[in-house]
Amino acid sequence: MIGIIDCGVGNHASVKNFLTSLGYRSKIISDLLSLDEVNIILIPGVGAFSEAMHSLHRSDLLPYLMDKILKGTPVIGICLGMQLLTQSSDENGFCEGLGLIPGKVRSIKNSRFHIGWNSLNFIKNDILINASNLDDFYFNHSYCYEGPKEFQLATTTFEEEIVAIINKDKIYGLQFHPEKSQESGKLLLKKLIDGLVNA
Amino acid sequence: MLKKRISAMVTIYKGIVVQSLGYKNYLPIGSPERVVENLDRWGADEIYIQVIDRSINNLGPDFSLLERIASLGITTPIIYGGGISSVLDAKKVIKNGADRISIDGIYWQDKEIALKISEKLGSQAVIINLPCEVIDNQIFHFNYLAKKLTKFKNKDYEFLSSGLCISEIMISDYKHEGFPQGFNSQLVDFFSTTNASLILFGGISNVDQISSLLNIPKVSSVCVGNFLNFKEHSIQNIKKMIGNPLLRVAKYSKI
Repeated sequence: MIGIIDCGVGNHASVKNFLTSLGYRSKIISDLLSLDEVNIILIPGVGAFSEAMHSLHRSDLLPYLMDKILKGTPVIGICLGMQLLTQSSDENGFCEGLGLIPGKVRSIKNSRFHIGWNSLNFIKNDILINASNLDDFYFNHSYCYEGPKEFQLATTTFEEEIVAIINKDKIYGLQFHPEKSQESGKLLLKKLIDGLVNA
Repeated sequence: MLKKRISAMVTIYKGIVVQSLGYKNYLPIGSPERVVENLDRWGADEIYIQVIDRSINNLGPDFSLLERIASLGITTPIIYGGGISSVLDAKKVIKNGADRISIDGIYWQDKEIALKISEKLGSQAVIINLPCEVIDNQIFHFNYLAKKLTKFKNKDYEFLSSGLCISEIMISDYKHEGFPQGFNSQLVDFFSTTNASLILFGGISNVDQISSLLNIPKVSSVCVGNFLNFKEHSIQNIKKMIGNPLLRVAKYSKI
């Protein structure tokens, strides 16, 4: 069962239907009890960093969620969800993140928005996530990850090199939207979820 | 390399997809679900759903339509416009299946609300739709609700350039919408100094026209309306004919 975390803002319906189309069971999590039967946590995101973090704090979900993650439940963060995995963000003022992957989130230099389809450049081989370097994925963000190289799996080229995938243990962050990247997104997310379930 | 987009416009009036001619006359096309499903299958880069009778009738956004479309498992990014008048509306539109929202009326009525929406969703999720017209070398905004033309002022450009509220501007050539090759490219010149990138819409129908508009550096996307519905796999065919490496080629599983 994949638990989709409700951060107050986010495209839950799209993510849930996408997972169903891939053959997975999923449910939207907004309370403690519903987290129990979850074996993968998915944090989606369309929205502002501070708004999502405040919403998580307000829901009382956070301590239980963090406990579950620290005990080894795999996590996939998508777009804003990936950014929430880091230590902090400057979006709308300083705000602390979940701190699961070292690094922070800052605004994209020069051009403020990275919107549209872009390809990935893999820095490391990762058996769970390797996709073709020619595949395009859908990005929609104006803030990006900055942190140690050891947690970066892939980048994408825009006005600057933007980190597209981060990873630490069983925690993965995808800056793009696989659920909105047509066939490329399906292949990548299916491989990642199957790999994490069987790891 | 960030690709340029060919987006598909789906105009909805009284619950069905219509071919809109100059924001005045509407011809029926079919069910929104089937049209969106086709565009998703054909590899559109974005699908722009514009429900044109929600604001004018104070109906709010069409959440039920979004839910029905999301339930199809559409894997193409969805932009939704129509009836959004509050932060709550905007958040619910995203929650129900849209990835970005398009605003028009609320931007002119109450910029504070537009700013709050942007603060909650992030401005990357907000597009402004500007129906425009050029008269005597001057640009005018067409207020769809009041059916009134207003000349653009410097402060409008300044606000749009500030990047405070929106990520992209959709220039809609409303007069030529629905008419083959009607788009007036002079409209683009008026936005050459704004920071936001441009989506062009209205009377864009032919391959050479799409190709030439996509070559304008500021243009991030060309949005094509019902011309896409007349032929199977229209988007793939257009991209193939343009043959520009700046366009994404949709990927399909091997059968």
